[in-house]
Amino acid sequence: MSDPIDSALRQFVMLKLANLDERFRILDDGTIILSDTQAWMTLYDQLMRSPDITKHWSVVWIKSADDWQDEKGQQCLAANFAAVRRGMKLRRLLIIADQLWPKADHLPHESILRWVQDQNRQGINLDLARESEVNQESDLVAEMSVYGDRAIESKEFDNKLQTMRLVLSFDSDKIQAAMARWNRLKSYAVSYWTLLDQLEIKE
Amino acid sequence: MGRPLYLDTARLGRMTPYAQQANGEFTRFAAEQVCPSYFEDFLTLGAKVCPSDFCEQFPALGRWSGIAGLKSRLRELAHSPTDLPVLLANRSAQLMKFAGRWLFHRCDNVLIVDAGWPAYRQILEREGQRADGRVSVAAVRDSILFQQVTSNEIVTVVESAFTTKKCDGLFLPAVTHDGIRLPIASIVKKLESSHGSIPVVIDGAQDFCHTPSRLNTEHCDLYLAGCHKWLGGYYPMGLAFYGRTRSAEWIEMVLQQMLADGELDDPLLRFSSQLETDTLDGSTETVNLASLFSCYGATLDAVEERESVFQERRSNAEAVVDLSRETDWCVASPSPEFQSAVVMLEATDSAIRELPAKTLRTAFEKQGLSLSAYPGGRIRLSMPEVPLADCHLNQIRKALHAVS
Repeated sequence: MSDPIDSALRQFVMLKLANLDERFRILDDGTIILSDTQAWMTLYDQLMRSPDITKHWSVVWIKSADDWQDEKGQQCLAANFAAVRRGMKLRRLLIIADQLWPKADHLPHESILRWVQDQNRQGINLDLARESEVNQESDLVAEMSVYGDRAIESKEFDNKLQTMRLVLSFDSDKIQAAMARWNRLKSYAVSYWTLLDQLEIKE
Repeated sequence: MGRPLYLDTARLGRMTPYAQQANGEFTRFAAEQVCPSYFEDFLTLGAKVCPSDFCEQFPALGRWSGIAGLKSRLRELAHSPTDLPVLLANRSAQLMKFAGRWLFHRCDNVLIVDAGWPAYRQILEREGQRADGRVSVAAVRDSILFQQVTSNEIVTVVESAFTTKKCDGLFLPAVTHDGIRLPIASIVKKLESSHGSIPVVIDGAQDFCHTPSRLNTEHCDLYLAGCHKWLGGYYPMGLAFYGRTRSAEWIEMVLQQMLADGELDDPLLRFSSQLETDTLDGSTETVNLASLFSCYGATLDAVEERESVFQERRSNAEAVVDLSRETDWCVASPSPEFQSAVVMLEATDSAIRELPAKTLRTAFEKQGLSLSAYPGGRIRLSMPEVPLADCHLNQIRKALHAVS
């Protein structure tokens, strides 16, 4: 963490989280670990509002139709839409469980389709991939967020696939590795626009 | 001296007969009735809400069928599907700013060509800087104008630039101000086959009501045009067409955001949107509406199926190119697939090349020709839709000899 700006960002984040010290800790290398939704939302909100972070990439793993439908998911989406309106570019790759996007279906199941459509409508650039296809490289099926060239957030799950804790790192090597992973994932994905274009042609 | 032969439509088209009549009647209406209580309904719903003698007093305005009617007619001329949105604005530059803002919502690097309109490029670059994005350029102009490249070669050049410069969006003129008709559909098809769906904005300022192109071919997300060139509305008014499933709501979101933030500062755009949605807030500034009526008049004169008109203009262009070869002017002669109703000539005489554009234009005007002139001794001749008579061709020949 030699970059003074990143140091400043880290310092800022730490201050914001100071009253949540029971629910986060900082490792020696500067990595921040959170095990609490409120702490995560505070952090997420601050990062998304950071004026020098203009791009955000995220990989979201949709395992059931309930994912992202809870209060935290709605808050997250609202923060996303607000960030787009402020001019941030959001790219999101959805890894969708096959039961929600069967191979025979052109678009994902209607139980999540409206959620997908909302994001496209509000200016999030979406790519979609079926879980079974991404599974060809098992290390790819994982959620992450990259905040510009500044930070990467990854999730760790318990054995019920519930998010157990979030790990935020400012390590540039890890950010680069995350972007390489993003590019590998893209090879299994199709742009939501392409799906809509194909639908237009069929119609 | 008689009226000059008008060959400057690519800059400012001649006002069509119906546009003149509608404009004249609106001026008289402004003097006689100013702004009666029914005027707002007239704007929205058309002449059917006016007093019974209105159509008798103002026959051209009597055909006004409201903002929705104007948009419907514009869609017909663009061959756009009937239910898609059309925006009207006092200033085209505001619509370009909106287009740039939308493009850089999604893109990091937008590809343009070196033949595009410089003012639009500046706006796009400003929007790119604002969004931490950039604009890359594919060089196509000289190879099209002077090296007789083919359409396929240009598609390859653009595709190659898009790939090597890692672009993710496209802003292209359908017809450049030099009169190059770009193979937009082929370029977009090629790019989308290799790069997936990409945002595309088309500058149709020199295309709308000039070429027989059709907007319903679904090769762009946003198409910008205007009324004062080939349509013949005379008063500038910017138009934007959009409505693809993939991008329409996203474009709408950006539009509403920019209007709400005051970043789109165009009285007509705000006023026409509010009129249509019945959301007039009473705080709109006074709007110049003259362009609405002249534009509507021009749309009534315009023909939807432009293939034969375009061929007539092209025949004129070929005749002018032929006679130009007998003069000291160098003719830009692109391959047939790029050709439009515009002929570009360049002086070979160094003294002419050094003349300021205004002096060159005036020199031709004295010879009875109205045309566009540029620094470097370049002139642009826009062909009329009626056949040029022998006397006109002789007049052009004589002028080219005289100014050389």
